[in-house]
Amino acid sequence: MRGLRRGTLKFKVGPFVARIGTTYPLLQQDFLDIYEGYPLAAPEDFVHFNLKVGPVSLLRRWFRPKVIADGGFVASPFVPLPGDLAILALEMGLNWQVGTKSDQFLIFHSGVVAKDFEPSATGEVRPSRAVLMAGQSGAGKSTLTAGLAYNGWRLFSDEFALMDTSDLQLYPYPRPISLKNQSIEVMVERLGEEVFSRPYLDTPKGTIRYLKAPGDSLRNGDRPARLDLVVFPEYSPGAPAQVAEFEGAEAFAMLRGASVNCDRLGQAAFDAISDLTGRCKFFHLQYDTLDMAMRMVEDLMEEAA
Amino acid sequence: MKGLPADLKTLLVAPHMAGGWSAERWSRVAYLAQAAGVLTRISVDLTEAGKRTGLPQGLEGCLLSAERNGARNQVRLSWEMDRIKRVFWDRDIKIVLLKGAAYLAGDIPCTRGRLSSDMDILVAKDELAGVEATLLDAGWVSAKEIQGDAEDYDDLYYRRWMHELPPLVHEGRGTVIDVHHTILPPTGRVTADGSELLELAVPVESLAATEVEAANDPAERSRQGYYVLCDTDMLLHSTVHLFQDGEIRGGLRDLVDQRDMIAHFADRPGFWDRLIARAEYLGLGRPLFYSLRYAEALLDAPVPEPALKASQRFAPPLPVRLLMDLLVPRALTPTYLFDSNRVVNFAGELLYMRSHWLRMPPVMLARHLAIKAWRRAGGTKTA
Amino acid sequence: MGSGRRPIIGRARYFSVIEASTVWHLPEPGSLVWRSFDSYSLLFNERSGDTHVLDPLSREILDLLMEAPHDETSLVRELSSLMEGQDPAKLEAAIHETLEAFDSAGLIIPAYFS
Repeated sequence: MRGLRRGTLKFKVGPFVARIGTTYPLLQQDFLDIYEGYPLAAPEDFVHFNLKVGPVSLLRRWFRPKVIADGGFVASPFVPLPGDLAILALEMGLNWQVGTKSDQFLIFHSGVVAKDFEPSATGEVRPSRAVLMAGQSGAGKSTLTAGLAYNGWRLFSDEFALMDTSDLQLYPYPRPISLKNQSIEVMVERLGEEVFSRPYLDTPKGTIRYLKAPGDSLRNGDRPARLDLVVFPEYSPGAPAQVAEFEGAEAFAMLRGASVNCDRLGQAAFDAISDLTGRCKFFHLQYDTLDMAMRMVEDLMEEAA
Repeated sequence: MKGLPADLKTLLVAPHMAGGWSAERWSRVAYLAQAAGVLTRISVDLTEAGKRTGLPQGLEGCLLSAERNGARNQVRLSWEMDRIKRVFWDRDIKIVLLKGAAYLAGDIPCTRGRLSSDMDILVAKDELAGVEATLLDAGWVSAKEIQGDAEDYDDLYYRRWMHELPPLVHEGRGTVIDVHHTILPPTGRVTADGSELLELAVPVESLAATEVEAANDPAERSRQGYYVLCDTDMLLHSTVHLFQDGEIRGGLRDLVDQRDMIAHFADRPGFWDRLIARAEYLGLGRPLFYSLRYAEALLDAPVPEPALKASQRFAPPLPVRLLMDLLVPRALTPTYLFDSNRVVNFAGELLYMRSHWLRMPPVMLARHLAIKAWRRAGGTKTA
Repeated sequence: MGSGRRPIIGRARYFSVIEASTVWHLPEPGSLVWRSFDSYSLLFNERSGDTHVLDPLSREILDLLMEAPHDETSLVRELSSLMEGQDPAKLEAAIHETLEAFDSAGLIIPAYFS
């Protein structure tokens, strides 16, 4: 708590270290609640991102508080939020910095989870295998990511897939999963209250609750995975379940469309996305219930082996 | 005079001396370098100096990100040069590249790791209307129009009082071009005539050893046919931009450019005499004085003693100089997010007002600031 | 691009020089990085940093231009003999449209421009 107030708190999220500061007591509480269990940075770790969350003016600290996340030289497009929603300012501010200042990775706007395997009988280490879930917001990728992350898969991210273009490995970016409106109820029923933040009402996206990242995803935050499967889920209530495979130029275009920074990476991105197009399996998923979608992903991953 | 933060200065002027630093020090200086827009350049220099090993965990990724960003910007800039040539392919027109594009085309050392991909070009004043029409016909649109702010005060302001067209943006590529006819606004207290600059501009030199090499080098293709300002004018333009025309706050990158140009041109025969004479002739002595003074003091630019002395004749009265010595280093120095930065802001504000004073007669300045304030307060667009 | 199904929407807006007699060529085939998936070709242009997806006809046109400079008329002639049974008007329109797209992407330039 003191570190947070003095702006000396440094914690690790996957390959990144973020330094955070806020003098706002409510945010300190909210932050410690959903970031409980995150590894702190060691003195020998480089700090990638700096973020200060505070009132827009001295007056606004007490009078109808308005807060904003200040990343210093990183200009961000966000408007001030009411004090009660300070954690959203922090979450959006941090994601913005990662999305715009991390071109060491090819970044996809998507959820990612991976299956880990025990070493084989002969002691051979088997790589973790990841599925990337892309598509428009509202298609249900956060809910699907959340469902899998608490059911035998390791959470990489519900926001960004980070790919090292030199070896095509995905790196974890385990952050609290932001669930909206109806999906909150579905997930609280499954997982219980204690893994959730308090509800944030009347945000620009309706009601939000953060689902905490599972402990094993935080403990294994430096273990990469190989990408085998790419799915574009689409939640369509009442419609029959459908799986449609696609490949080639269409797969290339869809995957490229999901990338946040392929233009900034130039040929490194072109080569990586072409290689992945040739190597991964690509599917459109149409699903009705979360259980159905999770089963589809399990099955498709089995087949993709 | 207050200097730059020590580690930042080391990375900028002696990267081979960097290293053995704690992660805390690297984190801070990398932040400052990003804030000043010079991290890409520093990455390139660290590689050159063989200093990319033994760095703290996580820094390598940050440097790689900065390098990719820089490479992308250079591709954009060089491609933009190619595309603009395509537009004017059948016109006999002298196009002089300015700033970043000129450094790239002229292979001036400050081009390495330089981030801006905006195009700035200079054409003769009587070509201006034709150039604008051609660009508008070829896919560029007014930047103001994109923001839904057409036909307002800003547009008139540019056309009537400034030395350039309102910026144009290419619809497809999103790149910005500024077309200038001189390098100073006609209303400023000092003016520099564009035709003087055009006259001495030089064709971009081929960097290829042979014609075959030139034909096979894409970068050669982009730069061929363009002009750049002659060495003295190139440096003077940068000094004007930093010390007279724009805001000094956040301008460390410009001073770094000037330091590189000074080092690059210093040994050309007669450079310093020509520079002083040219500044005198164009009425740009004052910004040159500041540039030599601060590039030398803050970035160890190799300005020969006689040249420093000669530039003294352009110095402002002593009280002004003392004030500038106090404010400029502070305004140029970025601050770390978790440090207090009130002094810097104040220095920046003072210098911002000064740069407006320098480019407009006082009555017009009052009108300009009043309109800005009125609009900030939510006044109507057509105020 | 170059599907042949869409009508041409007037003349090229960007450059007024596009005429049937304009001779086109590829300035730097060495800057192009190719990948193929099925009948489609992916193309990365190092000089612009742009990625393009080419359908078979566009690929054919670019290949012909890579071999030697062509004008629109000669492209139509060569491709009609390759694609017999195609509606000539549609093919011509598709070729014209493709050249416009290639030109505004900077993949080709008029031969006398270089």
